[in-house]
Amino acid sequence: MTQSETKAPILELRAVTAGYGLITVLNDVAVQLHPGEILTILGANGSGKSTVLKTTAGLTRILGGAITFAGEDITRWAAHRRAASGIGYVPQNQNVFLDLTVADNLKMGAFLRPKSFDRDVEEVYALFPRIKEKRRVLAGTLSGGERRMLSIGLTLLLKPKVLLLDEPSSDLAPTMVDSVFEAIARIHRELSIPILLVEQNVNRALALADRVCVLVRGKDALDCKPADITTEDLHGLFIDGGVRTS
Amino acid sequence: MIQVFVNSIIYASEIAIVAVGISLAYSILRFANFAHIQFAVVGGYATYVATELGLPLILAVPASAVFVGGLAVVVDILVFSRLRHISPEGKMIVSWGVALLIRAIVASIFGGGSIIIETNTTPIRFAGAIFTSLDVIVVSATVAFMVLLHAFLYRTRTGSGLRALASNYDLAVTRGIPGERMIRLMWFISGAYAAIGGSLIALETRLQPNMDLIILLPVFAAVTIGGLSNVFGAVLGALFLSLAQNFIISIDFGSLVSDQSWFVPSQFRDYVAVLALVLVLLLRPSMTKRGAN
Repeated sequence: MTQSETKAPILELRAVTAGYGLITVLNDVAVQLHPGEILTILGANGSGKSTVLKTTAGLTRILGGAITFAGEDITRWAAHRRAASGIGYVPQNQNVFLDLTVADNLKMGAFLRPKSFDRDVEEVYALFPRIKEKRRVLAGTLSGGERRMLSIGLTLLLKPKVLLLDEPSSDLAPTMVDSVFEAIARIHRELSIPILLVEQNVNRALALADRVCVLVRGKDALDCKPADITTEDLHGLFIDGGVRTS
Repeated sequence: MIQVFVNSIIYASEIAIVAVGISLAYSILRFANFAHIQFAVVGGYATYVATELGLPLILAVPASAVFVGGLAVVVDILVFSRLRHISPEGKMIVSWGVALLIRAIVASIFGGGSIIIETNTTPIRFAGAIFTSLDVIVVSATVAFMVLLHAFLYRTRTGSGLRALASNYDLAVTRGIPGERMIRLMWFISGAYAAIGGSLIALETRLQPNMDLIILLPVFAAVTIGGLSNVFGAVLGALFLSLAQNFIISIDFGSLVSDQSWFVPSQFRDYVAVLALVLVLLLRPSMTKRGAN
């Protein structure tokens, strides 16, 4: 981890102000993701943590600041170009193509890499055997957990250089949460992909993360190692932010 | 009865090829483009101009399709691309404005009179029904273009990309599918198909500035019955609608209750379209909800 801190960040948001249409959600947010690390963004509902990921993926209006990725300024890049450059984004909701089969979903994930699809998809199937079993059914018929696995799987087919995961545990049964977090840990370990993780499940997120930053009302407020963070810290931040922690 | 069926197939072909473009645009951009009807009208006039310039029909219609496909792309660049983030209702109203502008331009160039594109057609008598060689061309062209569109959407990588954008736009672009470029391509196809449909209608009937009003209702009814964003649902919608319209006006309602024959006047054909539309929406609410997701 000390090693990761000395390296230049692979992804950096500098003083980013962004939102949707006329609404501004993020104000002057700064995030640095270093090679090999898992950085978790914590925050209450409406704090803008999902917007950090959407802004990185290219789905919001950026009003100020800059985003650099792998040495390039991608602030003005369209979403598809960011994906092509290696940003793998897993949305919280609507994260699969509901009216396509599981196999077709995976093909869409490999849109930019059709030639190596047959080989790459086996890696996804190895990570999520259930997805292989269900490959002929419509994604809309999958359970919440299977859908989450599919959404991570189809993002991996991009061969991303970073993963942006938006609340991978939300709306899942506890056993499913276990297997999703195991998969995330395994992806991080085996593929050594740096991960920017947004979570509401504080304990889970702290256990997995190398670093944590907390977002309060669209501004980042804390950036330190998970071991340093006490429950009181978090509690204080959420209350100070005037946002309920529920 | 066979004659009514044959008439329905011919009419459905003309409507369907126009209707698919509306569904295609709706499936990705989620608004009903009223200017689409004008694309069909412009297509009819463009084919007329091309034949006047000496092109045979077999080349005039493709030339018209390319021209109107390009027009649809230009309209997107000038108007719709700037309004991507406004509400669907807003875009729909703007599309009305675009439609009226195109209508005014067409009328100012070609005047209010009707124009007939000369064709050599021979009547064909088959299985008790009478139709023309032109009807055969209209139906087979429609079938061929539908097969082509299906193959494009389901058998090519680009077509799959379009379907992905229609299914979930944000997810598709973050998979690396170039959304804006694909939207341009979609507009080109949509405009080209409208032009082909408009040309076929112009050949079957005649060109007149108000032909938009004649096809507006059946086309939109077909698209709505088909579930708005379902491209091939629009084809089925057109077929269903056409059958309903042609059968209603061919039934002798008078003889059912008295010894005098009475038919629904054919002017009411479009109201049958509305009635069929309302019935379908009442009976199958799930069909239209699917598109709204």
